[in-house]
This record gives sequence, C-alpha cells and structure tokens, in this order.
Amino acid sequence: MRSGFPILWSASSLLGLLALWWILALQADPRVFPAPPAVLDALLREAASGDLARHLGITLARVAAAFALAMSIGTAIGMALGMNRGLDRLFDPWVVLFLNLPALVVIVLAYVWFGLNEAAAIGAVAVNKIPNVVVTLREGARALDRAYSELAQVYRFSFASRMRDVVLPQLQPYLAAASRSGIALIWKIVLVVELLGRSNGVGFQIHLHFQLFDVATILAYALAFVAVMLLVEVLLLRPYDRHATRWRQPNA
Amino acid sequence: MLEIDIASKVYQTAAGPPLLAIRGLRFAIAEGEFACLVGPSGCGKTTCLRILLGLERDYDGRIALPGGDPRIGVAFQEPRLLPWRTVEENVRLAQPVALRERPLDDLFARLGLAGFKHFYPGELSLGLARRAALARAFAVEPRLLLLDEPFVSLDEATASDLRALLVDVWQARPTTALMVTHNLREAVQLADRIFVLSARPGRVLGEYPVMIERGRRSPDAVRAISVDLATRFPGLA
Repeated sequence: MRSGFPILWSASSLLGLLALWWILALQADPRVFPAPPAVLDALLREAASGDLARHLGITLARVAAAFALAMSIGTAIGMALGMNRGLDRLFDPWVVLFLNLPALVVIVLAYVWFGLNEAAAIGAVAVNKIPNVVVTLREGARALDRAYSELAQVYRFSFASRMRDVVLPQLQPYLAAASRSGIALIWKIVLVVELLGRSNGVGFQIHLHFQLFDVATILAYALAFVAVMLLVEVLLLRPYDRHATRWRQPNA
Repeated sequence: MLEIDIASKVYQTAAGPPLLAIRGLRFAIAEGEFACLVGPSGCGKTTCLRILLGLERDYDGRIALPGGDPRIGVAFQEPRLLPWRTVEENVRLAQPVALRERPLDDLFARLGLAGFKHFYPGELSLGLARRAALARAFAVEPRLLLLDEPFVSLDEATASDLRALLVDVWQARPTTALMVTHNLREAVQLADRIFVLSARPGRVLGEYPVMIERGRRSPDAVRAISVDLATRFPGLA
C-alpha cells in the first residue's frame, strides 16, 4: 500500500458489503438472517462475559500450534523430497494420497484412534495441511540454484549457515505461499475439529449456538475470528514478507 | 606447490555422445606464483578450476593442492554473491569464524568498495559486484586463489582498473594463484607464468614465463609480449 487511497478503497468496499447485508436483512426473518445491530449486540454480550476472548484465544492457540507443526514438518519433508529424487519417487504416491484424504476422515480417525484430546485435535489439523506444504516446498527445493550450493561448499559454510544464508532465502517465496494458504486452511479445519470433539473454542461455540438456533451469535464469533486472522495477516505475515524480501529491487 | 595431472575428464551429455573435455592436462605452479591458463573457449579451463575446487569429482587423474587441503579464495565467472545478503555479509559469511572479527575497511578501501558495505548485490553494477567477489576471495586469507575469468563482460577501462586492484591486493599478500582467461593481454599483465591450452580436449601446449616485473609492464610491453606469445602459439590469436 503505497498511499492512503487503497485503504480508503478497501474501507468503502467493506462498508458497501455491510450496507448490502443490512438491506437484505431488513427483508428477512431476523432469527435466520439478523441485521448488523443484532450481531453487534451478540458480539458485545459475548465480549462482556469474557467468553469471546476465551474461545478466540483457545482457537488461536490451536491454529498457531497446528500451523507451526505443519510448516516445520512439511518443510522438512518437502525439502528432502525436492533434493533427493530417489526419495521423491518412493514417497510421491504417499503425498498424493494424503493430499486427497478428506479433512473429515483424518479428524474422525484421529479422535477414534487417539481419543478426544488436544494432541489428536492439533495433530489432525496438521496432517491435513502437511501435504500442501510438502508439495509447495518440494517445488522450491527443486528450484534451488546449484551455483549458491557450490559457493557454500567452496567457502565451507557450516550446515546452519547453509540453511540460514543459502537455502531458506531461496525457499522464502515458497514458504510465504505455503504459510499464506496454510493459515486460511488451518483455521477453517480447526473449527471443524472443535465442532467434532472439543468443548471450547470458536468451533464449539458455533456448534452450541447452532443448536440454540442463535444465528446472530454464530455470525458474531465468525466475524470476530475473521478479524483476528486479518490482524495476523497485517501485523505478522506482511511485515515478515517485507523484511524477507527487502533485498529485492522494488520493481524487479 | 599446486600440481595437476588429469588424464581425462568426460562429461555425460543429456542427449548425445559423452564429451571429452580434458585429455592429459598436466602442469604445476610453484608456491606464491601467479599463473594463468589461456586457451580457446571450451578447452576445459573452467573444468580444470572446478576440479581444483572439488566441484567435479568424476575424473581420471590426480591433483595436489598446496598444503593438502588449503583454504581457497575463488572468483567465479559470475560474481555469485548471495542476493539476499549485503556486500559485507557476503564477505563475512565466506570467512572462517576466526577471521570474522578483523576489520575489512582496508580491503574494501583498496577495492573501491568503501561506501558499498551495506548495499545488496542487486543494487551494484557488474563492476562493483565483481569487486565484492574479489573482496570475498581475499578476505578468507586463502592459501590458494582460483579466478575464473573474473573480468569478463566488463568494459575495457573497468577491467583494467580491476586488474590493477587485483595486483595491488594480491601483492599485499602473495598467494599461489591460478587464473583462467581467454584474454592474452590480461594474462600477460597479471601472470608470472602462462600455460597455453589446446582446443578441446584440453591439454597444455606449452608454458610461457613472463620475466618482466609487474610494476614495469607498461601497455607497450604487454602488447609486445602478447604478440610474441601469439606467434609462438598460433592457435591463440
């Protein structure tokens, strides 16, 4: 965002969406499709009771744990497969299999096999995301420039320096792509995990209010969490991206 | 002493017959000597350097590096700076940990890099990037210096500036050096000894010691020696 105008555009575009919602809600049954003030009321009520912060926090912690797990394991596997053709040939069918395994199946099996506990929940989410990370990072590892590996070999870079100074900077665009698509996918799956087998978190609250047919509160939780994820994007992912690509020419 | 005795080096090409790059390439360079390899393009000069660097292991023959397993300073044909690290970081990363505390200001000043420490390689001209690559090669305090056409695709004025800088930095700490070039006059200006290679498969056609001191190699003297060299090895031109 080079000037203030794009923010203005985004703001007025969102205001337009809000207006559309309001207009449509006026025609509908407020229990099925509540207008913005009703959702705001629900939001304030949940916030005042402390429930909102508690459930948002728990869900966010699960997202963070699953994200860290999926990124680190997926990156390691992806790099190994991208750098070693034999391993890739051996395990590519596994990757394709896991890539196409429905999230719901993984979650249900994890709960059946490992019990309704936190480890099973987070593990199930991570397993859903790992194949995506593997595929993206495998492409990145295949594209590593041999010229830089040779340089590192001749000047005897340590293993840590090879990773930090040679390999990871080349993988950065792939890591950025995997983490962007990852964080969106993961939080959606976390809600399903919570709905199926946890007694707290945004997913649990949505399930609860679905049974009470309280659409306003469902929307309040959903919007609050979307807002949290937007903040993560703006405050964490984008600044990190800018920092990691500071060496690139602005127009290159 | 740097000794090279490569019986043969064959490249397997992706499509087509294997390519014999080197056959019977044999020469030696004394400790502290600056030698140049000259020869037509594709004669195996770069391959020879890659073998010395340990980047090509599949060859028939043997090499002996000064001191067994020396620290090598290298300038590749392209600068090969890590684009995501600044000039100074690029130099520091190549250094062994023991040298990283030493100031680089003198080296940078000699190479005309004083104001560019914090630049990223993408912000440098090719000439400056080549200087940074040279700075990196010297900053590791190498026992052996290997240079692969480090001045190629620079304009003549910049190249000759850089040659003078190279001599200056090299003389501050004479190191066994092997430089590959196809520019005869560049070889004459820099080397103690020139090895002339044949067309592929490369082997040494002959060697030519440059007797005049470096300081007295005026443009005229360099031209005269180059002509003499070219008449002795007509393939060079």
